[in-house]
Amino acid sequence: MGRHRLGEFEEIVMLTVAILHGEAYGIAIIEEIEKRLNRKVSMGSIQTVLRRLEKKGFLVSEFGEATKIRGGKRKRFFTVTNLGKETLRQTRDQRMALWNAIPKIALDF
Amino acid sequence: MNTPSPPRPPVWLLRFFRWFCHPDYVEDIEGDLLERFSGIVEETEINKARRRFFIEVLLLFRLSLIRPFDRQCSLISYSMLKHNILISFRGFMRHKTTFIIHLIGLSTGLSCASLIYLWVQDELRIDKFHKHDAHLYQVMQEFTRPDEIQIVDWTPGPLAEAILEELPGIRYATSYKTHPVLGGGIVVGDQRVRAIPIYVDQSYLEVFSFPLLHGNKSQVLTDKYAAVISEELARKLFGKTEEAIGQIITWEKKDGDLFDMTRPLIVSGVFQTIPDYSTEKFDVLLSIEFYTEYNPGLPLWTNDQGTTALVLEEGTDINKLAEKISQLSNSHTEFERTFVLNRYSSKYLYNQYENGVQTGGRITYVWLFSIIAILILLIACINFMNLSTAKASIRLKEIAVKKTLGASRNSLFIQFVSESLLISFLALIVALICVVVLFPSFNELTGKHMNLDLSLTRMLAFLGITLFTGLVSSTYPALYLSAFKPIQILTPNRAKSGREVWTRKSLVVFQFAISTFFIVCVLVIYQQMSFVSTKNLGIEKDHILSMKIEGPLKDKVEPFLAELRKRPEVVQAASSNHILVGAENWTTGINWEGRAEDERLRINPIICNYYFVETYGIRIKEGRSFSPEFGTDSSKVILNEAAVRKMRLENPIGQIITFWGDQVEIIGIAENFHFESLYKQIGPCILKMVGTKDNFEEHIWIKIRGGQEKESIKAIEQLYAEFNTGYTFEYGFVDESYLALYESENKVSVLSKYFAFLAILISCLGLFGLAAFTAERRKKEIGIRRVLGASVWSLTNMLSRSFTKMVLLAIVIALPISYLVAHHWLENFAYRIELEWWLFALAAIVALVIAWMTVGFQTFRAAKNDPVKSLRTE
Repeated sequence: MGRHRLGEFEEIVMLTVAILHGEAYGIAIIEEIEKRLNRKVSMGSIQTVLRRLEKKGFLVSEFGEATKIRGGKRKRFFTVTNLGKETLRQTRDQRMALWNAIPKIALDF
Repeated sequence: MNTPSPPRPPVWLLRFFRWFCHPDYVEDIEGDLLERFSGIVEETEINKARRRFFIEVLLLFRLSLIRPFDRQCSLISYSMLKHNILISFRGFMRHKTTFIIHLIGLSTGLSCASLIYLWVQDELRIDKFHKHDAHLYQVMQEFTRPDEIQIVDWTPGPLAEAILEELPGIRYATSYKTHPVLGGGIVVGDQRVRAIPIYVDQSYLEVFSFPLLHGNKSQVLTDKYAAVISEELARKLFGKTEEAIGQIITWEKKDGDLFDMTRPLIVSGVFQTIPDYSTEKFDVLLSIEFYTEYNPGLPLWTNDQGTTALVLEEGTDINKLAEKISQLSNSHTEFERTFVLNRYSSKYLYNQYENGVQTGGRITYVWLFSIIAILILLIACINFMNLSTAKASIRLKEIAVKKTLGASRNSLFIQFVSESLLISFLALIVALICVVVLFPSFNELTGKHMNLDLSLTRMLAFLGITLFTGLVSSTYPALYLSAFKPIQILTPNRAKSGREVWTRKSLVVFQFAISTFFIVCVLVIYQQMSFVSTKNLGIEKDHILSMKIEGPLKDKVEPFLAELRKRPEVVQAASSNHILVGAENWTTGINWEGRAEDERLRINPIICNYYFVETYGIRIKEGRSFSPEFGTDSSKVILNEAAVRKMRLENPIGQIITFWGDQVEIIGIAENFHFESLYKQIGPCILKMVGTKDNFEEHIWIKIRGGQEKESIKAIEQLYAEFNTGYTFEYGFVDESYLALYESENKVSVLSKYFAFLAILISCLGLFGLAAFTAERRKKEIGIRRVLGASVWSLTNMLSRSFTKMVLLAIVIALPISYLVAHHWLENFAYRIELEWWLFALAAIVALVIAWMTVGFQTFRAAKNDPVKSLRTE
């Protein structure tokens, strides 16, 4: 499954985009991650990951309407593609498979 | 908050972002940036948002987001850069002397500039840390006196409240009292700690930003008997800051306090240690109502006992508001007052007033040192320019070959600029090491407590200074070198350009003019300072111990003094209310026959005891001094000559005048002596014998024999311990406190000495380089001359001549300018040295000798060279 491997941060970003469902643009994603995971994220790192995921075909983006607060600049909204959804699902399944394979005793303490 | 325009992020950063960002992504990321910025602004403050913005932009600078390169172009510029750096390093290795001269010169210049930058930055931030700094104003009162307008910071106590209630455009107003009436301290159990109190109302902590560690700033001072103490004090008294809350502390009365305010107070809060860059320093915040309880005069409109500070709304007209405040105050009382508003943070740097207008003060030194820093950097840059252009001939072939192979002028220009930037950054590294090493002594020298934290602004400033130096020093040589035409260079007989030599010479002249100027300044400052410290003051200030009267000693002053006089090591002892050096203390409560109706004389009162005149060696011109032999002298006074002249008294001895409502007799005239600083003319002064009414004695003066100070002090200490058990013996020397009056001048004097030395050093380095180069280039000529019989001396002379001319010209330019500047500076002093010709002659000779030594060494060596060796190789 080499083609569909996701990094940890990539996975978080994709999941957040999915959570925001249609409202996912740069700042919203950052704030969501900061809120939910209590983790500082710079715009540089988030944008890099977004572009990379888009290039891989996991995300698509389109411009929204211009608003006043952003100095008239449009937002770029991201959505998860079918390929992206599929990859997320696969990642989760793989994880679950691994979890299930752990013998019960190994996690007891 | 309804601010007219929303704060904007730094435009240059946005431009930078637009420049590097991938065109496809620019729009939405920029939008995100702006949104984030305004989000942070709302939450915190603008500076934090700007800093955050800067970091975000930097973090966006990554490979996946930046504009794609034009492949070919980038490849060429990259390899060109590599090539340039390689060539530069080879050049450094081959011409080691030049390289080292450049490095030393630039790094000295840079470390000077960096140190001065740190100092200036520290001066400029004083009192600026308050959150409302931009709108924080202090209400000052303008007093019109017959001869001048005076500005003071006392205002009526109820002014702040009235302003807030009745005038528009005020956000906060606070009234407080700083002058510590209580000199005492805090007692907890059997622990006693000295502490400086400040009495404030409830909005004080809103107006000034002294953050609290414990307690809520709107509530800590609601109780009349609440005390907010400093972090340090809390630690000292209770171990941990959080344990201080709710504890009870007691103010203890100190002898000499006007009111007995001894009572328990409850600690309601702890504030953070006040930073060094605050001019307001205190240990305890107490409620002003507590103060009023003991001193009911404070809330009266007729008394000027408070200090008033305001935070204004944005866009309030300062002058109009000041006018309204004056009207407001005059409507409450018959006493006519005029108020002005001053920016609170400008009080430190602009602390001098002349007829009611801020005329400068410390800001002069800020300017002075900034200019010195720039001049020293310029000298260092000039070195670089001169040596680079002089050495052009070495690089001509390189330039010619590159140009024939198709290099453009631009690319050569870039090569030279990048070379000098490279050396500037190497110099920066050396300079930073120097700064770190020198920093502790610099701190001591300037009397500051600066730290070396590398903040962003500082880093940018250092980089900026370096870039500036690199660019200034390289632009001219780069333009000059890159302009050569290959055909000129490669043809054997080319004409030499006279312009090049001319520019170089004028730059050397400029350098030496600055150095000579510095030498004159150092000489003048030094002379004036030694004049001040040795000037005949009309009093003898050496070997006089001073101490304060406190504790039980207060009732035993006379026996103590009598006991002191019996000691063999004590010459004389006396007490007085006046500290005699640097005191500014005057009264108009004097009346005499022949006074004009509206004449008001400002006279300096010195309430003293027997033998005060003798202790200080004040000379009595006519009449006699106070003496116990004549019975009681308590209604007798001595005037100084200035007072007699001002009062137009003829035959003053024996005349009766009124002083503070009492009839007093003049028994003597004292020769003029200095009791203020030498900035001022000697004013009128009255010496009055201490009477029963004057409970004013504060100081004891003990004149001891010179040469055995240590033993004498020990003996006095023992005696003191007998009289004042439990109190520590604290003393000072009068001549030391006299010198402390001129502390800032002394600092400037020491600093200017160092800077002048550095300026001269850098100039000489340049001269050294030039001389070495000339000698090198004329090696063959020297060889031939020697073979034909020229002596070493005549050759040295020949080679030095042009340098001598330059330095002489520099001296001719520098002397008049330095005369004007020195004259201007000396005008600050009422008593000053004459600017004599030998000062300038000395400066000129020093400059000339230093230049000769630098050049002479090189030329002598060149002339001594064996002609066979220099002529053999071709």
